[in-house]
Amino acid sequence: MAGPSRTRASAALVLLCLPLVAAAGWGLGGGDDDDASIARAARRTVREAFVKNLNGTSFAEVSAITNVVPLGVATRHAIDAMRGVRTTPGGVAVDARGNPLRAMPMVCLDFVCVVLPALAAMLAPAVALPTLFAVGCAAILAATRARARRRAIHAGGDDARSDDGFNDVVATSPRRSFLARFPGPWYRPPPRSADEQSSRRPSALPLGPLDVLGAPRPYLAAYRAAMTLTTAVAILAVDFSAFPRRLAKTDSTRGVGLMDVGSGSFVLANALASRVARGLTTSSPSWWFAFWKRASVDVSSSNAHAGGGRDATNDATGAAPPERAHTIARTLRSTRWWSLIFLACARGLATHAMDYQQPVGEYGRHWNFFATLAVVDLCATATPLPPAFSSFAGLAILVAHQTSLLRGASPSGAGAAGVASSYGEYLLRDVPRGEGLLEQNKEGVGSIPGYVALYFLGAGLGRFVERSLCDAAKRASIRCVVIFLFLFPRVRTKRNERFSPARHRSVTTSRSIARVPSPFIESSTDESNDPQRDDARAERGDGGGGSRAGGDDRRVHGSRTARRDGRGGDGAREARQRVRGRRRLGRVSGAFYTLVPIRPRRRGGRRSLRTFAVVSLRPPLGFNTRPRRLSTPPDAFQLHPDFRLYGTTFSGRGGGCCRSPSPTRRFGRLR
Amino acid sequence: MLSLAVADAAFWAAAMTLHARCQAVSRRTANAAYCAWMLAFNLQVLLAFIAAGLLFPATPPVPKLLAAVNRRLLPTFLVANLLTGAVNGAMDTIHVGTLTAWASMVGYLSVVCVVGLALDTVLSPQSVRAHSGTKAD
Repeated sequence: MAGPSRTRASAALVLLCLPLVAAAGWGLGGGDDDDASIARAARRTVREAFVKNLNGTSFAEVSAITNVVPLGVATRHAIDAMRGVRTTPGGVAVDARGNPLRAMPMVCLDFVCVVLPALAAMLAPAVALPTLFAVGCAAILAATRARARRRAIHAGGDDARSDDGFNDVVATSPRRSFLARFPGPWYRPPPRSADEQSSRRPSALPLGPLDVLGAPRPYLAAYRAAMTLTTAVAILAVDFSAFPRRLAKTDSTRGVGLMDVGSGSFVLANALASRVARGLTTSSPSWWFAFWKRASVDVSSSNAHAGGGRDATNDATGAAPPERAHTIARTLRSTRWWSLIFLACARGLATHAMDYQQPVGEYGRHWNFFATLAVVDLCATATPLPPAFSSFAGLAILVAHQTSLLRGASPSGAGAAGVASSYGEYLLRDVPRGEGLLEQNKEGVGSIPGYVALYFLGAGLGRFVERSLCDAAKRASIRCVVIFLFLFPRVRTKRNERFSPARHRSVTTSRSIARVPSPFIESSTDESNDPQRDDARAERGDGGGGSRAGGDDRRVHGSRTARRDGRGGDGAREARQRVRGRRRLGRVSGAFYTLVPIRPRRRGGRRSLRTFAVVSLRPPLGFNTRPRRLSTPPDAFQLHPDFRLYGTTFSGRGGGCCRSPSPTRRFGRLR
Repeated sequence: MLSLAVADAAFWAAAMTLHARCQAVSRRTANAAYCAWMLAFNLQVLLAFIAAGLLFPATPPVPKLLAAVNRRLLPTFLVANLLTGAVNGAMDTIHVGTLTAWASMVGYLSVVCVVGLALDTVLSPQSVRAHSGTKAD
C-alpha cells in the first residue's frame, strides 16, 4: 500500500479506537460501584442463559432468511430498472433523462431494500419472509414488464427518428448490444469515442469483463458487503427478545443456527476474494520451480515467487511481475492482516472491559473470531500451493481434521463423565477446563484446521466460479454466432459483410456497391428491389460530374420511380439532395460518410412494418389524413342555425361553437 | 451457471449426508459437515447474487451502499461490534419491547451504514468510488 493511503488508514484506525477507549473507560470506571457491579453480574447471568442451550433450526430456514438479502439486491436493481437508471460508459449512474443520480437517495434506497429486509426477516420471520418474497418477486416482475415496454417504445422511437430521411441506421439494435456483451474474435466492437475507450466498459455485464480472469466481480462485492451487513444485523438482534432463539448461535455442542453461518461465511468470503480464487496467480509447474529456487536462494526476499501474469515467462525472465501472490512476509506486511490482529485485540479488550456476555465455550476464554481469521489468513497464504491444487489440499485437510475429530469416538457420545472419548468430544466439552493458555482456548485453536480447510476449499470454489462464468460467456457467444450464421446466411454471402441483422437489410451501407462497375448494377437493378442500388447510382450520378451526366441517371432512376409512384424524377432529385447534404456534412466534420438509402415507397407508404397502422408507435400526426373533409375547419358548417338537424356531423366533437345554445353568439360568427 | 448449480446441489447433498451420517454440524469444531454446509450455503447465496445482477444488466451492478461497505469491510464490522457492545451496555436489551427493539435496531444499522459510507468517502479516492464494482485490495 502506498504511503498516503497507509497514513490515512492509520488515521482511520485511530479514529476507530476512540470509541473503543471511551467504552473501555466507561466499563472500567463503572466497575468501582459495588451495587452496579452486582447488578451487572446478574444481568450478565441472565444474558448468558439467554444465549445458552440453543439447538438451532433447519438448513431451510437459515437459507430462506439469508436469501432475503440477494432478493433485496434484486429488488433494488428492479427499482433502478423501473426508473430507467443505467450506467454510462464512464461508470456514472444516470437516470432515464441522463442526469447523474444523487447519492443520498440512492443510499437510502439501498438501506431500505437490502438492510431492513434482513432485519425484518430476523426479528419476525413468520410474517416478514412471505411478505418480503412476495414484494420482491412483484417488483422484479413489474420491472421486467416496464423494461419490455421501454424497449418497445425505444424501438418505435428509432423509427420515428428515421422520419427525417437519412438516418435510418439505428446505432444500437438489441441484438447488436447483446453481441457486444460477449467480445471475441468474431465480433469487432464499433469504434468508441475517447472517453469511452479510457474506461473499459465497467458495466457491460453485471459480472464484470468476462474475458478477463480475475477482473473485479460485482457479484462478489455485493456478496461480501451484504454478508457483513447481515452479520452486523444479527450480532445486535440476537440480544433482543424479539429475535427467535432458534436462530441464534447454537450453544449446545452441535446444531444449525442462523448465526453459525457468520464465521464460516467470513472465511469463505475471504477465500472467494483471494488472489488464488480470482485467478491472479499462475498454476503452471514452473510456479513450483520458481518458488523453490527463489526460496532456496533468499528466503527473506522470496515473495516474488508467483508471476501475476497469465504466463510463467515472467518468472523465467526475472522481471518484476505486476501482481505477486501472498507469502508469509507479504502477509506480515499487509495492512489487512495487522488490522485483523488489531481487531482481535480490540474485540477481546472491549468484551472484557464492557463485561459483554461471551460464552467461554464459543472460542475459548481469550480467543475470538478475528484471531481465527488472522491465523487462517496466515496459514493459507503461507502454504506454497499452486492454485489448482488448493481445493484438493482443502479436502485433504478437512478429511484429516474430521478423522482426528472422530478418532476414538464412542457411539454413545460420552463426555458427561468428564473424560472425553475423542478429540472432538474434548473440544466440545465445556466443564473441566485446564489452566494452560492453549487449554483455555481449545475451541478457537482446535477449529483452525477446519477453517483453513474451508479457506482452501473456498479458494478452489472461487476459481471454479470464475472459470465457469468465463466458459459460460464463451459458450454463449459461440452460440450467438452460430445462430447468426444460421439465420442470416443470405445476408452474409450476398453483401460480403460481417453480419447484418434483418432489420438492417434494407438500410445497410452502400459504399462498397457504389464502387462496383455500372453495368453490373444496371443489370441487377431490374431483377431485385434493392434500394441501395438507387442511392448508389444517385451518388455516382451526382458526384461523377462529367463522366456520367445527371440526365443519364434520371433516365434509369426516374423511370423506376415513375413506375412506382408516378412522380417522375422527384426521387432522383431527392436522392441527389440527400447526397449533397451529406457531402456538406462530411466536409464539415471531415468524417467518412456512409450512404444510407431509403427504400423507394409510395407517398405515405410505410417505412417499416413496425409502423403498421394498427400497432404504430409513432406519435400521431397533427392532422388526420384520411377523412380529409374533417380537416376542414368546423366553422365552415356552422353558418346554418339548424345544421344539427341534418345529423351529418359529429355533434359530440363539434367544439364549443356547436354546443353553444345562444343564437347571438352563433350569428355573431356571421359578422 | 448450470455447472455452478449442479455443484451447489452436490455440496448440499454432501452437507446433508455428513450431517446425518457422519457427524452433526458443529461450528465450534468446524467439522466436515459444517464446512460442506458453508460451501453449499455460500455458493447458493453467491448464485442468487449473480442472478440478481443478471436480471437487470443495464442498472448499476452494485448498490452504492454495498460497494462502500465492501471496500471498508473490517472497519465497518468493527464499528458494528463496538456499537453492539454500546447498545448492550446502555439498555437492558432482553426486556425491552418489540417496538424499542426495532427502533434501536434501525438506529444502530443506520449508524453502521453511515460510518461505512463515511469511511469509504474519506479513504477511497474518487476514481475507485466511481467504478462501483471495483474491489480495492
